[in-house]
Amino acid sequence: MIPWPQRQTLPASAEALRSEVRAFLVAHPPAAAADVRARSWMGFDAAFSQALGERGWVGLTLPTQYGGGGGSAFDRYVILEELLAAGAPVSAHWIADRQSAPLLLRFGSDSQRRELLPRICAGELYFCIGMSEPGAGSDLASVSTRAVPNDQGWLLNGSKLWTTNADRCHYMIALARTSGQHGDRQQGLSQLLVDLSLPGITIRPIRDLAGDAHFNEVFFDNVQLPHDALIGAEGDGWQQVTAELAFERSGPERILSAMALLECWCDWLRLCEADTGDQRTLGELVSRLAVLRSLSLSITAQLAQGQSPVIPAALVKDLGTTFEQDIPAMLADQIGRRGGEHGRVELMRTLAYTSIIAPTYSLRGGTREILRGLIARGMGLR
Amino acid sequence: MTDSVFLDSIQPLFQDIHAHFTSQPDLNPQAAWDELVQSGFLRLLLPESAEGAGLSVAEALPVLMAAGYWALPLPYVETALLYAALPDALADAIDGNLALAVGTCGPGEPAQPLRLGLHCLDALVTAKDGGITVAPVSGDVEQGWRLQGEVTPLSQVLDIRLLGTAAECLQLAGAMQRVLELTVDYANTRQQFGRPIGKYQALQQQISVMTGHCHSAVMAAQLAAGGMQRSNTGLSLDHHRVAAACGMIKAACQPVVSTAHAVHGAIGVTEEYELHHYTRRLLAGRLAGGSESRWFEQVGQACLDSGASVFDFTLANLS
Ligand SMILES: Cc1cc2nc3c(=O)[nH]c(=O)nc-3n(C[C@H](O)[C@H](O)[C@H](O)COP(=O)(O)OP(=O)(O)OC[C@H]3O[C@@H](n4cnc5c(N)ncnc54)[C@H](O)[C@@H]3O)c2cc1C
Repeated sequence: MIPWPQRQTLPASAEALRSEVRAFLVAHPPAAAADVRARSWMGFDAAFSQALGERGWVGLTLPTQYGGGGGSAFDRYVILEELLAAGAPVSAHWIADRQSAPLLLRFGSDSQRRELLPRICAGELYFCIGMSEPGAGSDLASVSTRAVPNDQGWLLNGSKLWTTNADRCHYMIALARTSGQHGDRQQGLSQLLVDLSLPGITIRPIRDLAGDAHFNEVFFDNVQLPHDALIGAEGDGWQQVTAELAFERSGPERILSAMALLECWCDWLRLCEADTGDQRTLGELVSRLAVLRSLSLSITAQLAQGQSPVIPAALVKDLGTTFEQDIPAMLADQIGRRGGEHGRVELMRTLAYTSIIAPTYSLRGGTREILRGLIARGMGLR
Repeated sequence: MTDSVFLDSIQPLFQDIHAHFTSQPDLNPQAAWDELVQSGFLRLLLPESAEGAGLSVAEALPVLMAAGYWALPLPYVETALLYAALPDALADAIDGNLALAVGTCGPGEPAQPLRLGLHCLDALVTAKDGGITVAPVSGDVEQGWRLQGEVTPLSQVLDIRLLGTAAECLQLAGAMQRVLELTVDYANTRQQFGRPIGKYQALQQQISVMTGHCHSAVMAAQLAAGGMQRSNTGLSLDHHRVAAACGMIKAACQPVVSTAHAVHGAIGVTEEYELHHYTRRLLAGRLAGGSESRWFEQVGQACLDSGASVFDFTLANLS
């Protein structure tokens, strides 16, 4: 059985950061329009990321010797939830801060850490995740991108797909086969640091159904990587990816994706006559938010203790993305219940954007079905 | 959720009452209540000066949830919380170790505890004309309860309905823990088509969703407990936090019941198998004191009235 969650309130030191983040956001205000704020963690703004870095809020939990803030996972939680709730454009440094930097800290060589981590913490160096491929989505172990050792290091061939921000990042951490055969599954995979400016790399943006281009396809044609491109030990890629996903799956970003819409609707309700149906819907969503946030904080407490709560994180992500998807689904009905008359263009634009993009919430970072499989394993069913 | 010392010491009694109630069934409610009195656990939330254990509601939560986990048919949680909430006003009841519950008792109407299926009850605490009254009752689970004696008004101010609902909800969260265990055990044991049924992905996905509901409910119970602050003079309730938590626990009841029964097949609907004690409780408990919609409406209205953003309302009131 998965252990029952233990409530964890934020320590006062972390809570104290909240007003500082709010002051920062006054100086660096996010977009005014709710439908732009709704794109928060797809919003790429290097100047914003650098300003955050200057403030010490990128790589906050990394040790100070690598330029980090030496802060706690709870400090980071407060900063993230404030940025996301405000709809700030966090996408540029997001992946480096959330998973690449902790990964490098844990598995990287000393020279990788010394060279990369300080620049990540400065908000200058951006990363993308090269896991998915055309033939390897949920079945990640079937990746066919291959890195063959040679006298200069590793020769990389293959392709990656859906790589968020590959066109605007400096490095990819790619999962590739470094030994054995294609059918070997989890064996023989490694994580490699790929400098995206190297010759032989082609990156093509893919436009999404809302008209935005955040993900890409990436082709590797005899890309020569140096020896020290290997992260961790050869053949340990699968275990490293699994550990990385615990960081990816439990944060406030799995709860707050549709907040811009919820806030916009609540503002609008205050202008019209809210009835008990509106109150009930709002009350349900607020109550779910409260419980999810407590669950997410309980995972943060485990991360802070150095644990890797892979399965509880999957549980929270499944509940969180369901909540995020229910927001546009429930609000469309609530708004439309009045017969299609609606006061604000901004509300309808935000509803339209959030509704059409909401399916991605339960795809990125592992699909709902895959997460439920993990939960079932945690419950002893597999 | 600390102090498992307390849980460890009372659990054997809860388990014993459970056995007499479900498998044997030869429960003597008064004898069971007397054993609870003997254990001293009715005073779990009373100050040490009143011979209590002085626990906060959050500290006592494992014990309170365990009463639901073991399907205790007695108003143990209700009584412990009411003693803690009104220690002075209920001094006589506390001295007499009376079994209390929140309910309604209009003139000429039967006395109705908010929770159905209680096997033992001495008095109801009711909300009346903006105040609180204590109404002594007699009766039994089959015949129902009747007013028996004088109704005493109390001068204290307390949202008694919220307290009664919370008492029920903490137990429902415990009951959901048990239902999830029963369901997972059964899925791992029962074989069809040559394999345990839990190996089939369709059931795995349903049980995963059920797990999510149960974990939400358990977290909500902790949120509620955190919103019930005990002092030596009584309990103060953070209305929004407790209401939101109760709403979440109630909202989990129906889906948990549905999946538990689906996984159990026909055995789950027999009198002999213990599942129905829990699923009946969850279905009734969802309604007791008002279903999730009632509580969600109140939370939604409070959020609108606050004038704050949804996020700020959540931080200020529900964290
Ligand atoms: C916005 C967005 C950003 C992304 N960013 C990145 C990124 O930066 N880097 C990266 O590497 N990837 C990224 N991804 C890819 C993402 O990780 C994959 O989409 C995801 O893993 C699913 O793979 P797939 O799309 O190929 O779907 P498939 O794996 O083909 O799945 C299709 C359907 O089949 C179901 N399914 C598959 N296998 C099973 C099974 N065993 N049991 C039951 N059901 C099953 C799935 O749950 C799903 O419903 C991104 C995706 C999106 C939408």
